[in-house]
Amino acid sequence: MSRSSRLWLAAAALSLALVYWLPLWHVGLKAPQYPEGLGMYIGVNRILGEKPQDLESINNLNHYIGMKRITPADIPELRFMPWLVAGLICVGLVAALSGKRPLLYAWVGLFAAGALAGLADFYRWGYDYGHNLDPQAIIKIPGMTYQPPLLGSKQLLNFYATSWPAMGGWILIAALGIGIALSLRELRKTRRVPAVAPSLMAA
Amino acid sequence: MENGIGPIKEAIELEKIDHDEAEEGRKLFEAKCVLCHKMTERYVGPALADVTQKRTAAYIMNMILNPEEMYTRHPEARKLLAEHMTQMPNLGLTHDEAREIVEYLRTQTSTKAGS
Amino acid sequence: MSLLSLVPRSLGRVGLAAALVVSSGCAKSATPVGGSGDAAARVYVAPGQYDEFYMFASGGYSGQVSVYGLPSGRLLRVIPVFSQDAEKAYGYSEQSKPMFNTSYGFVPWDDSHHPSLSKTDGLNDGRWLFINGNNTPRVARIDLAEMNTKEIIEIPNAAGNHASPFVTQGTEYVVTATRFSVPTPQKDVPISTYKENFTGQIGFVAVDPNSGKMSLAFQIHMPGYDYDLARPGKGPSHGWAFFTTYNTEQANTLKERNASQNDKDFVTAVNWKQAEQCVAQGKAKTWPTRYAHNWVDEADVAHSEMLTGQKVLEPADCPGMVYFLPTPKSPHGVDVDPTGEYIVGGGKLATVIPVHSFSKMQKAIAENAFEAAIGGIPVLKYEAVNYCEVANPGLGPLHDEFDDKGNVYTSVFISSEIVKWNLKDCKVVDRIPVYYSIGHLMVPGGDTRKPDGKYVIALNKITKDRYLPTGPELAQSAQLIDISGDKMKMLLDFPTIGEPHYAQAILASAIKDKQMKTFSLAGNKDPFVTRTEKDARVERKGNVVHIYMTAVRSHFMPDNIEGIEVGDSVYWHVTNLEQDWDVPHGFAVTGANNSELLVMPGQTRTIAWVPDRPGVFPFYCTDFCSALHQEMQGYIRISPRGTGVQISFNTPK
Repeated sequence: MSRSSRLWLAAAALSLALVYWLPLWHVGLKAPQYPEGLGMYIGVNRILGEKPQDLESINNLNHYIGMKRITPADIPELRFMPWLVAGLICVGLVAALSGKRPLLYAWVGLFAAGALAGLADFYRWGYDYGHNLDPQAIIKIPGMTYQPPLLGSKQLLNFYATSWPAMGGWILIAALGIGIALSLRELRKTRRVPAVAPSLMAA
Repeated sequence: MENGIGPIKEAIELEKIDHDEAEEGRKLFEAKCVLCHKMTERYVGPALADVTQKRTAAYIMNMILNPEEMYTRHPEARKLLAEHMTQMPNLGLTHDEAREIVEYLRTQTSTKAGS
Repeated sequence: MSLLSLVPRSLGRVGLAAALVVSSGCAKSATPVGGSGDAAARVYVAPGQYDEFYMFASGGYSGQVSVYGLPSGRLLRVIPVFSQDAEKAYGYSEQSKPMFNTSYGFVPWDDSHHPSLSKTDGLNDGRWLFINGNNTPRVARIDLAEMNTKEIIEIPNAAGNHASPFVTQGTEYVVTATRFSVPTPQKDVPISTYKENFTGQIGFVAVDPNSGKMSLAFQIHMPGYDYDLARPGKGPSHGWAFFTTYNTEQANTLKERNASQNDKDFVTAVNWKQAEQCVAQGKAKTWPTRYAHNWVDEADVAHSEMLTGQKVLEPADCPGMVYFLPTPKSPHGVDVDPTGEYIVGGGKLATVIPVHSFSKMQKAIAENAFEAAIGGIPVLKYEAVNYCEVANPGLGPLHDEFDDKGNVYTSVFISSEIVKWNLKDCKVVDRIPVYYSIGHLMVPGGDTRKPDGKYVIALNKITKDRYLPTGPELAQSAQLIDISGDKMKMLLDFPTIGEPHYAQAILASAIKDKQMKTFSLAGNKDPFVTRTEKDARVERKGNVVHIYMTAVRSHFMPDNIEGIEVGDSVYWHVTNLEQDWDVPHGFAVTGANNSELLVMPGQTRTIAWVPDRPGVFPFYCTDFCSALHQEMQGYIRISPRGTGVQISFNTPK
């Protein structure tokens, strides 16, 4: 890999460390009687309310429609995600240090697969929360389910729900974007030099 | 000005004191006026023993029947207001009742006060 | 949830930067502030001018009734009803204390929910305002010329008197009902035996057409449901009263969930004319429960009596008296339209607003279209009585009021709006957001034969950011909305005292000129009145001292009192000798454990005081009455017990 690629790769891998502090995702709720809004920040190892009491408020409101309580302790992803991120950082740094292209491609591949798996997992969780309602719920609207949007916004009863990446999430997107851009650049380079000796190709 | 400002537009001719009327006036006085007026000393309002010597009957009746306007426009009433710092309220008396009170006050000059 | 990413987007740095800028989602644009252009002119009442309407709002947990002017939203008065008021000595003066008597003793507070104006021929007549006490079940009657509480009657066999005191169209009766079914009469049973032991009552309090005096006419012993709200019929449905009924699940715990399971609960229809007949035929049983009845007599002094032996009818003994109309779902409000034909249910947890038809109900009864019977009460078939269901009304429809054009305005709590629809086609024609979470709403005359189609007031439960914040506790918010056009327009947002659950309004012109200005001193029949200063005196009867005192600008008579001893029971009977408008006098003495006195012109009020230490103590006028108000004071000398100092006081010369 070129020197600049390796530097970019290292930077991208290191930037992932920021997600230990910055939240990955934001789910927001707005309703007429909540002009100040309610929200949740989902981090790599925790879920916090936008205002300290918001998580409790969201859980209290959800019980009317029969949704389960969101208890961070019950969400296993919050325990192994930090390790996944650590792994990604390591692989990325190794790839950057070694300069070997296959490691770069592997890193991007792992990263993308992980991202897609993550989105699918988020969707599955949202589906479960929104569909598996308490049969004795206080407010039952026939045919109504409360799956929050995966990405974007949706009206759920009197709440306007939004679901978007937060700062940490954008950093991940940016890092993956950098990885893909680097891969494409490296791929183009290898293709453009067909007469290079096989021994160099193996680098 | 000497007859005051109010419903009594002309001076009232006073004749001999009618004691029956004065008796009616006394009853009214003790029900409504004695709260603020004594005869020979200042109380909430001025002493009234010689008021019929100092003011005309028409003035006294206008003061009783139309105090609000008297306080706004008549210089004598305004002087008294500044001195006593209290306005006499409009007690809702009729023309005849005010006349009876005047008749009673006529019997209450300083020589005869208390009788 | 775990790592996220999107399908690879921007590949260049510019794209990356753009992605970073679009962070943390786009929120919906902020909710509109809610006010229209010429609103200021519409609600401004210029200095010296008067409002158009009197609005009487319940105080909710304040226990009082507040009086507002509309359209300005200005607070004019707080009428004390069920809660002691130290400012007015209501519940502290000897003349007013009996108003708080109940079978539980002196109860100094209650929760007042629904004001109801007296009606003649289906229209507000401006004589009285009735209001319910929810906690220790009671109904109060307020005289509208004096704007004071004149009578309170306790309701036996009830718990939570919520569906009350809605007035029939000729003020024949004021209705009451049990909100929380209990063992009736009370007995010691396990709470889990709700289904076996708990029942309710629906009661009718008769109102004397001349004096307004209330008396318990009869009660109907009902199944153990929760009876939430009521509306008497009018026009063709006069003679009937309708009560929303929920918790047909008969749950006794976690009712939030357990009373919300059934798809349909009921509107209970009561034919009170039929009930009257059954009572006349001797079909009612007499129950011995005790209850208090308190009233203010012509001398403006309150009295209390304990009554017992109220008549109770069992539905099985009086066929044709009660019917159940199925209604989705945990219905809250029930309202009858101005024609008396349509009965609208507020299906709190339902997705539609159900409207029943009175004439269809009559037909269903005649044809025996029953689907079941509960405790001798026929349950009519839903399809047989239903007129229409209004779809998409919003979330949590609660109450309905009507205008003069066949429109219905429904308050919708969860989606925080008022929804307008028409009885002709049962379709929603307009919505307006309200701030926030509206409970009741009120159209002046909206529950009469002829509503005034100008305004609707939203009475909301959540205030949050509507006004300057005042710490954690905020005043409840109310909004004035114009309904004279096709589209509703918000005009004014104003805070209210306590929690107005409901309100009633009447044209100012109907009662403004009938307002009392003073009490007549000549007509004062108080047993302790002092009509002139010459009669002012102090009398000792053993350990009790009566001070007959007058108050006039700007002195008390007597104002120097001696000869009182520590531990004496001193009664200050203060008579305000003024006969002029708006000259009340106050009275307060050092260390009184009760309150001040506020005495209106021509009135006599009495406060009790027990001096606990020797010395000389001042008393003074607390209501600024005149230029020499600061000088309006006196002294009372307290001597040690047993010293035998003679009673003496100054007199006018």
